[in-house]
Amino acid sequence: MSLHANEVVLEVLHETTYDYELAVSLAHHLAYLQPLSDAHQRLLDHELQVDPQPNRRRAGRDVFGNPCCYLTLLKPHRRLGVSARSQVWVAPRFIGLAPEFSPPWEAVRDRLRYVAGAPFDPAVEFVQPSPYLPRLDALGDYAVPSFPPGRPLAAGAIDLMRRIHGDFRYEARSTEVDTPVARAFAQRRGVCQDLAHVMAGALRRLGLPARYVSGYLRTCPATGSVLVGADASHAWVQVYTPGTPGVPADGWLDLDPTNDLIPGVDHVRVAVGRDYGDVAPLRGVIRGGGRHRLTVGVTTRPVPPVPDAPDRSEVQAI
Amino acid sequence: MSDEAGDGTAFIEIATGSAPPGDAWDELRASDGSLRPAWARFAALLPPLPPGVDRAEDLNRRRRLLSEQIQRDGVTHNVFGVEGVASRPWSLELLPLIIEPADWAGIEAGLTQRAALLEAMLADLYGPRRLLAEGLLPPALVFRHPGYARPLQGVRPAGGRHLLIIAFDLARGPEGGWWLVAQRTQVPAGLGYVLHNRLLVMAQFPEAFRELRVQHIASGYRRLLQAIEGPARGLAEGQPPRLVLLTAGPYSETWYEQAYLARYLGLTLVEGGDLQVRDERLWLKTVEGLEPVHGLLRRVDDDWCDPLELRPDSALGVPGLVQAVRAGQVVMANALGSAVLESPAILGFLPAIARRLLDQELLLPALPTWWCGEPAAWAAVKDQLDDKRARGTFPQGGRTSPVFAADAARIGLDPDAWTIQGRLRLSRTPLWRGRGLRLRPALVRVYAVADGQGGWQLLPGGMTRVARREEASVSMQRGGTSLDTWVLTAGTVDALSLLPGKLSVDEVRQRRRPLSSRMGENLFWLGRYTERTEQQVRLARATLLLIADDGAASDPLLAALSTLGARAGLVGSGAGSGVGMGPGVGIGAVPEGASGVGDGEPDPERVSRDYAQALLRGLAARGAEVGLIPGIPFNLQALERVSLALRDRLSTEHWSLMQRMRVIFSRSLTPAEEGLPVMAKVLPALDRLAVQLAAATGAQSDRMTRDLGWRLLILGRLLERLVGLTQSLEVFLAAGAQASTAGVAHLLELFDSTITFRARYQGHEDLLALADLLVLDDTNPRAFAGVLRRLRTELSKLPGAGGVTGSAANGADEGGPTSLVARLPAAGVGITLEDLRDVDDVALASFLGDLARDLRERALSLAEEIGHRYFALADGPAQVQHT
Repeated sequence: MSLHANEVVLEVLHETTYDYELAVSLAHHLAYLQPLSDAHQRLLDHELQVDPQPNRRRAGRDVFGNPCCYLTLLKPHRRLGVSARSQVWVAPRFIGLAPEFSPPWEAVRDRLRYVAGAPFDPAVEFVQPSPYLPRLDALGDYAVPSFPPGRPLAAGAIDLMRRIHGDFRYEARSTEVDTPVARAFAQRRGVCQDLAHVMAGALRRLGLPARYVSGYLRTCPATGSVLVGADASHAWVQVYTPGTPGVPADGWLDLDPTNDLIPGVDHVRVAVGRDYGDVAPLRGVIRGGGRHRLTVGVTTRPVPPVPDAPDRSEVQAI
Repeated sequence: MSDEAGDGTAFIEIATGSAPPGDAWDELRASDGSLRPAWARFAALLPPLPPGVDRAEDLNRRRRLLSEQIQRDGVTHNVFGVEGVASRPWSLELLPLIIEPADWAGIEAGLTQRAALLEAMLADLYGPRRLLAEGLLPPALVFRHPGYARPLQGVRPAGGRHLLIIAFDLARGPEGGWWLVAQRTQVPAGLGYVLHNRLLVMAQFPEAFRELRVQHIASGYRRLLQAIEGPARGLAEGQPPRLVLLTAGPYSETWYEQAYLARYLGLTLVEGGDLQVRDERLWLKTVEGLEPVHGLLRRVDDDWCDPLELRPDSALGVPGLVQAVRAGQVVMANALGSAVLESPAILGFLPAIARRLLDQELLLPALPTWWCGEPAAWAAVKDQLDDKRARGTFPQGGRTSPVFAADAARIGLDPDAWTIQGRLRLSRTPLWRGRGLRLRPALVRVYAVADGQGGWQLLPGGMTRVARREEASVSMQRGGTSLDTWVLTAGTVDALSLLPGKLSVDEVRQRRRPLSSRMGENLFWLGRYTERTEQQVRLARATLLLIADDGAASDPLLAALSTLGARAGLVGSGAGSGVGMGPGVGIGAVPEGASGVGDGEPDPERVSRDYAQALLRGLAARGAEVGLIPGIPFNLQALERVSLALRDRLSTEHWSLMQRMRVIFSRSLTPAEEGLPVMAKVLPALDRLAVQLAAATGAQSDRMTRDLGWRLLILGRLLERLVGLTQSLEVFLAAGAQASTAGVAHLLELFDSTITFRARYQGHEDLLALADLLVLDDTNPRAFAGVLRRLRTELSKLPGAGGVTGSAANGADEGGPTSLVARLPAAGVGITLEDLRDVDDVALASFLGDLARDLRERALSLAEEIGHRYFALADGPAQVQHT
């Protein structure tokens, strides 16, 4: 296909391998590995390979509209390989974004408060606490300086993103997937998942809807060579700021606190949810197995025609 | 015939003196002090008094009978505290709560209407969500509630209904009207207790029960069964549908009643680990392979039911269950996601929702309720909290809606999380206490059951709970007590029992419950532990007697007995029995050869004294020590644990014996002060234990149905016996202990064959004679040949074991069917008496030692193979992974 300026086709290879100490006799897995499709991101091709061959495999869509895939393995196995290859066309999403012209943050908050008989906005689901994001006053206190009275919501959220990027140290392997957001917040460091949790939790504590986004980030090291498996899946945040110029009609604005940027054509959305728990790339319940070793590798690269790659040396993914 | 006037008068006299506080409704008396009509009739129908016994004594005696029966039946209630789980006897009052027909009619109309409303709400919430769209229900009550099951959004339940049973907690207010206090929609508890309470209380007041025309409750249970069975039938493809009761296991709060209910309804009692999802269908792992399951009455909370799509930290659920539900392949009572209606905040929105969904006004009022997340409601109520209480809008820490004193500052921090309810002064109902009646606040749990026509019926009865003290909160967890609930009818009593009419062949077949792999494994180990304990008791007795008789016994006999003691784990420094431990048991390996004798040349007297001390220490092990020494206390603990899980498989007497043996044994050894128990206490304790074990094996042999479960139990016992006896003979021969008269006596004692031997070989102690009776004689149930003969018989009756097919073997037989029987000698022990002609004693001893070792190895490998074939599906807990 021919690409317009600023559009790109990205190819993502996401490989997950479990090596088990003992044979697994039965396994149920649920994969969130297929990128979303919408007006600014189109899935051109997707292939999910599972080794050994699952006894049953069923594609579905969860309550938030994310594509997912159920895998059942009934034969004993010592190793599980799941490999997802996707080609995605990505176009800039937030063209002409004017954060200063978004509604005052209190207006959005107040509109979502329940009044008998008032109209329902589904975004209200993302104001509520969720399993990984309990209601923490500390997060609300942290967010307050970004939201003085009357500040346009998008401007406040971008400010919050900037502060988190400045205050938190990104540190690979400094946390586990189940590290509570309170700990990541207290130690002011974590991986992209923690930073996304901190930001979403802070926004929610102020009564603003925030979603967790699981996805990919284009791998473009400064050397220009592609390091297969050097990367992992990425996570960022969406804030609900309807009526903001440059934000699509659904009202969700993506913000990446790990890199302090508004995602353009380098980010691929795979799934949105309340928190990591809703959209973990591959979850499973197995019988047997003993201990296991997990290997994950993600490569995201443009496929020709390649537009000029910007200097992404500061971008950190995971 | 009783003296009606006298009884009534006595009862009234007893009743006077206690008055309800303030304006609370008195269930017993009208405002003029006279008994209410139902109580007047109850009093007149009290059972006749035996001569010389007054009414108070009679009621006290009945109350005692009640609690004795509860003890005997082992009715318990697990209570959770900081110290973990404690099992308490169920508490039941002698007097029932009585509900008059007119009151019941009002309750019935009000609750069936509310039941229909709740069903309509769930259909809407998991469907078109009109209630949210139209602002009739605050989104936070759905989206913040952990019971809202997102994976079920848009899923229509198999059979079309979300709710098949609902529990409503009711109370009667000062004016005599009934109020709804709470509703339970996900796993309504109590039906087993309701049934048991009824059987016990009814038996104490048969005349009153009959003459007052108390409605029978059996039809309610039948209806519940039909409510699940009806839609499940459509999934079973012409076969009778298989229904199970999913429990969280022996440590759940209401384990007893779950087991009781399962038995009464004829449902297989299963834990999450007993079920498996394959091909989006639900299967039960049985010893005969996977069996399809079509309906599930669950007692596991919503969010714990599937670690894949609901709570990932749940070890109680069935991975993939949501997929089976989504595929419409299993009928759930109730549907996953129904917990969302349990929030107390919901009550405040129901009147408007009833108008919208049913176009009706609610007939039965609920407590006035304000959800603080609605600014108008919170503003209206925040300055008038004194006469109200605050409840958590959402469940916290596993407990549903805790109650707090209303505190405006605290609520203001997170108003959504709080709900304010008006206080209701509960009606007072009489309890019998010592010399009189006490009036206590009562809360009644009533059950609505779905009928096959889309409507609802109430179970005419229920569970009434009262606080033990005035003004204490009404909760069984907090030490409340329960009452049978008598619902009177003006019409005829429905005398239906659970199983009226004729059963078809299919139904009869269906009622033979399949044996889950876990239960099969538990039964197998029940047999093994029972036998092992018996052998250890015999060995401990023999050893202690020998040491007591002869303080300096240093001969080969003591060496043999102490080696056996060490191997059996009777003393701390043993090598374990080397025969494996049951499910979930792990013990640290202990080095072999440290048995207290044989090393160096110590003073024999000292050796035997030290050994006796070690033995006593092992017998008196308690607490953490028990896990370290696989001796008698360890085995009794294992028996207690294994049998607890077998609550619905064993007879009540058998079960309660298995549950008590450990405590009785341990108590009987408790020394007056710190230190070891004295011999004078130990021998009688061992004797008593031997009698109890004999009773237990008697119950297993004579009273259990000869089904597959029984067969596994017997196989467990026989294999353990073969292991123990072969070991005894081998060790005796190796030590040369059979050469002395005392040695022969002890060996015979361990084989429980003294009487036969003495009768058959008066005075002779030849090794050949021992070989005949203890090894070759297949009519001796403790000779190797006798054990092997029974093993062959029972093994050949196992499904798939006789070499016929491998169909039952859970896929473990894929390498071709091998006969379990073929692992044993084809006949006898493989040799005959004739083969021993002209063999001298030395050669004979060596030959018999080899034979014993060979047979023991065969027994152990056979036990392993049985586990592999029949219990392979009862594997360990699931692991959850996330990338």
